[in-house]
Amino acid sequence: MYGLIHQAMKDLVCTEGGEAAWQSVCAAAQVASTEFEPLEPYDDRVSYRLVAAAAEELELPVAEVLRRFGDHWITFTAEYGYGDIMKMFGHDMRSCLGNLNRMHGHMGAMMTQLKPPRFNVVENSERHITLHYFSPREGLGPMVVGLLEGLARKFGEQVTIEHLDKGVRSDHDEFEVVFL
Amino acid sequence: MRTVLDQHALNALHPFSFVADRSGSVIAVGRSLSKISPVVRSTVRFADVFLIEQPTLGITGQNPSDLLGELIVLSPRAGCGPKLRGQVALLDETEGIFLFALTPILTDASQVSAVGLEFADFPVGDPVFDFLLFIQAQRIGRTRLEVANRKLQWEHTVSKLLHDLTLRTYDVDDAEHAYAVVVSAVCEALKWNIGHVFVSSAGNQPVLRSTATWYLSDPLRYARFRELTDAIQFARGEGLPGRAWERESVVWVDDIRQDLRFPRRAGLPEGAAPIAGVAVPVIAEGELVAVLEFFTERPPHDKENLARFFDLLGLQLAGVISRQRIVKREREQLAALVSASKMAALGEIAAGVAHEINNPVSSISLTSQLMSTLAKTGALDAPAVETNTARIKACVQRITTIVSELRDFSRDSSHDPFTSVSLKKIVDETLDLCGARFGSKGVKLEVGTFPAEWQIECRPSQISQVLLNLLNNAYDAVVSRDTRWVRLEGREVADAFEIAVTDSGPGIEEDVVEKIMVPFFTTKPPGMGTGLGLSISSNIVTDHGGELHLDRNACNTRFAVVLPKSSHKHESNEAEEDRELAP
Repeated sequence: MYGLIHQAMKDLVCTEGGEAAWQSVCAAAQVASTEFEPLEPYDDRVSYRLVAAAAEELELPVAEVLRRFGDHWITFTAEYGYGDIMKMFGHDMRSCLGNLNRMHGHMGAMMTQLKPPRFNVVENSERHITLHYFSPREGLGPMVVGLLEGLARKFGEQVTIEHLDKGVRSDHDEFEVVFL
Repeated sequence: MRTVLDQHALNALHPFSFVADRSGSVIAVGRSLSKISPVVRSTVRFADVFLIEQPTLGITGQNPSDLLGELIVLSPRAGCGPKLRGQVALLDETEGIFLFALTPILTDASQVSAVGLEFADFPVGDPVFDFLLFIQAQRIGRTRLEVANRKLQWEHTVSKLLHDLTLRTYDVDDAEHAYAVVVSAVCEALKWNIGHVFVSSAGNQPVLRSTATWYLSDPLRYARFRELTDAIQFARGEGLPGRAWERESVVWVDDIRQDLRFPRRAGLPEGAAPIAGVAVPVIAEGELVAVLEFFTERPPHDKENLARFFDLLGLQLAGVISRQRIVKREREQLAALVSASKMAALGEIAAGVAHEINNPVSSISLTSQLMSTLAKTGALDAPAVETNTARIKACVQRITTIVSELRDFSRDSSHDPFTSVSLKKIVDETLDLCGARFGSKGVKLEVGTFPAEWQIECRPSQISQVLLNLLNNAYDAVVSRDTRWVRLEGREVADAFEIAVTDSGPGIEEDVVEKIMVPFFTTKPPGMGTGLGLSISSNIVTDHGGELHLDRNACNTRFAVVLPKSSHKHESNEAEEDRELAP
């Protein structure tokens, strides 16, 4: 994953547990530096170790750390400097979700080793969509729940989200999103 | 081959483009163009809606055919949308249909959102997004670099300031002086207007009371602020300093006129008061000792870094106060040890002193008996009275001298001023106290020459104590030996005098040498020595800017005291006093 992800994780851990907590997380994850280059690719194992160490440090289940990370990612990227770019993704949650694949495609021009996920949106009704999440990486479904929560808050929308784990109904993660 | 570009294809491939006939009238509009030019629609002439910015020279007309093969730039005549760039292509030669294939000129993502454009308004895969992402990433990188640079500069400033304050407060003996140094240094470095100190009063219900320590960049301008501050006391939790006390951390006030928790806001003159302030608690050894306040007329823009600095400042000042307290306690303990050692030394010489006093007392007794006998026989004539009373007076004078020297020796002299005194006088007085002891046990005391003009600046009683300790140690070392002598001699060495005490002993064993200056270390039998003599003597000599050492090259046991003629310590004390007296 790219360093930007790790910087967002740092921001989350510092917000929740302070700078000292991040120092501990990096030590436990056995990473050489507490800072990451945003546009440099890192081995996925680094990312997984950071998540596991953050869960340990913050005394939270790994899934909860991933959920909080997904939620935090929305505000982090906007504050980090991509706020204006994000505004182009859509004026509401639906249009934004519909543009995620295109956005990742363009990110690939800058991040040549990006291995982005794919989001397929199926419109079930005016208030109900199913989001199909395909990823080359395992276990990141809870992060998508956080992303959806973060997006809903960003656009001021009320939603319920149900996560159907990979393998329950299909070979990928599915999320039922109901707009209230 | 005739080509057709229908509305669907126009929307999908060229959403910012339009189609016009040979006269320049618009006949079809791409779906996203209206976001840039709200007035563009079919039937209008494109030149009425757009200004042709490029090309401007060498163009024969404003019909589409005039622009074929050119790079064109159009700017909307209405609205504030971005310019469009592209080319004109002939779609149908027979019908005279032209495509104005355009794309908006965007150099910043904020331009896109400003006109309400979204991802979906662009053709799929439009490289403009790649470009915008690159631009934004570059901007973010530059911003991060600038932030890091500013942080580095700030940290450099702060560490330099803290380092400077460490140096300037290290040797400061009293807290008030340290506060004054810190308050003015911080205000000057940060260009803040006011710095001030509250200290905690003692008692069951302590309060913070204002001190005379102020920094005012403009004393006249801030006179009322000072007056209001000096007139108020704060309990724990009250006002800005009281809250810093309660929270035991830095507390800010962003606008003192608006903050209801800032009681001094009432009564401040318009426009002549600071805007923002901060209170920094100083907690030394777990106890609040002071709260420093700083105020500025310019709202601080980097509160996060400033807060970290003020946190460090409070900690550093607390360290200074703690160190001052420790030094004071150590001095008190040392003074107690010096006193104990002195009493021990007095105990050792008591018999000698008694003998020294007993001699004149016996002489007085004998003389008075003689005078009585002479009186009974009628032989006590005037010359005899004169002779005998003179003898008695001399004996009384001798006793008075010894008692006076004993009193001088035994009193606390640690706060005595440094005075210029003859080294010979110190030596003589010391020998008065201990000389008899040596004689009584047959220890030969050889005393070298100490010229009367050898003057040193010192605390005489303390130097006497050092000599007495060395002489007593020498006496103890040789008193039970066959060869018993002790030599006291002095010599001038550049800007110092060396006073050496050598005894006939065999020297000190190598494994003992390293420990002899350690407090409570003694080689004497239990009850014979406190083990403090040498360590205290060493402290006294060091305090005089000199050195006490064992001469390891000497055949016998030889301790040498090197004392500067003019003590540096003495000079720095005087400088300190001068500074305190300065206005």
